Amino acid sequence: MSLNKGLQSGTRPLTDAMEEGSTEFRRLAIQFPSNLSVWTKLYAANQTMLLAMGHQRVISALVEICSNLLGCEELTILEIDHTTGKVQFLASEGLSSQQIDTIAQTARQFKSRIDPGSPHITSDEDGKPDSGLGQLGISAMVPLWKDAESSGALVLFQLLPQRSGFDAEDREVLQLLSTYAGPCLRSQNRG
Amino acid sequence: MNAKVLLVDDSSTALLMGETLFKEHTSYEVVTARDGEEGLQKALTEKPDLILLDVVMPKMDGFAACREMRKQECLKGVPIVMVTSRGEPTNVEKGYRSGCNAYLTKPINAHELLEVVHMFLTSDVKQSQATASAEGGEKR
Repeated sequence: MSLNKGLQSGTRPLTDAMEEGSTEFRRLAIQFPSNLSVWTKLYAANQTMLLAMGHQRVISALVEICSNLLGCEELTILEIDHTTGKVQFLASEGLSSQQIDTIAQTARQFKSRIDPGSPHITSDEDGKPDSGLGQLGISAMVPLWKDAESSGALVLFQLLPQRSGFDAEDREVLQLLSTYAGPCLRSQNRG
Repeated sequence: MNAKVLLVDDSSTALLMGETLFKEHTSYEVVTARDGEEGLQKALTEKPDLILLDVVMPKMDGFAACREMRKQECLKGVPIVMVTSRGEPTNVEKGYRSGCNAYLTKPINAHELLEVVHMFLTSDVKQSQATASAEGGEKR
C-alpha cells in the first residue's frame, strides 16, 4: 500500500492518511460498484480503527474487525521484544490457555514471517497452506510495526465454521490491517 | 416515500458498513440501534420496513429481540433478516424459530446483503400495492 512508506518513516501524520483512505474507499465504492463489497469493507475497517484511536480502544476495534469482516473470533495481539524474544500478549480472544502457551513458546519462529507492511496468510482459499504455522492452527499473521520494524503481530487462528479460508476481499482487509493496526496501537499508547 | 431499514448491531464496524451501503448505494433511509432492547424500541417508534438484526448483543440478544418484535402487532409483517457470525445449523434453526425471514452469516458480502434487502422490500411494496389495489376494487 502506497501510504505505508510515509507512515513508516514518520513523515506522514497517521490520522491524515487514514482520513484520506476513508474518503478514497467511499469514492471507489461509488465509482466501481462491481467491487462495492471490498471497498465498503475497507472503508468500515479503516474508519473503525480511526475512530477507535480517539477513544483508546484500538484493540477492541481490531477484534471487532476480525470478527465482522474476516469471520475470525480466535485471535491474539502480541508484541515481541526483538532482543530478548520475550512475548507480551496485549489481548486474546477465543483462545484456550494451552494455545496461548504454545504461541508464547513458538513466537520466535514468527519473526521471519512478519515483515512490516504485508500479512502472512496460511489459510488461503486459493493457495497452499503454510505447514509450520498451519500446525499451530494459525490462519494469518498481520505484522504490527514500529519505526519500520515489526514489533509484534495480530495472529488469527481458526475461522468461523462457515468459512473455508481467506478470499480476495479478506486479503485486502488483512493488507489494510498490516498497514494501520501497528501505527494505530502505537499512536493510542502515546496518547 | 423511501423505505426505512433498521440496523441492530453492537459492532461499530458492522454499523459503519451497513450505513454506508444503504445511504450511498440505495435510496433507503437508515436507522441504527446498538443492542436488542434499543432495537425493539426503535422498531416500535421508527416503524421500519425491514430489520437487520445481529444475534450476539448486550442487554437482549437477537433471538429474544426477534421474538419480542413478532409479538408486536405492528411488526408482525415486517421482514427481519438475521445478520450474524453464528452460522451453526442450531443457531440458524433458532433464528427461524424466533421469527426471522432470512438468516445471513458474517462476514457479509455487500452485494448479497443488498440483494436480500431489495428482494424483501420489493416484494413488500408489490404486496402493499396489491392489497391497496384489491381494497380499491372492493370499494368500487
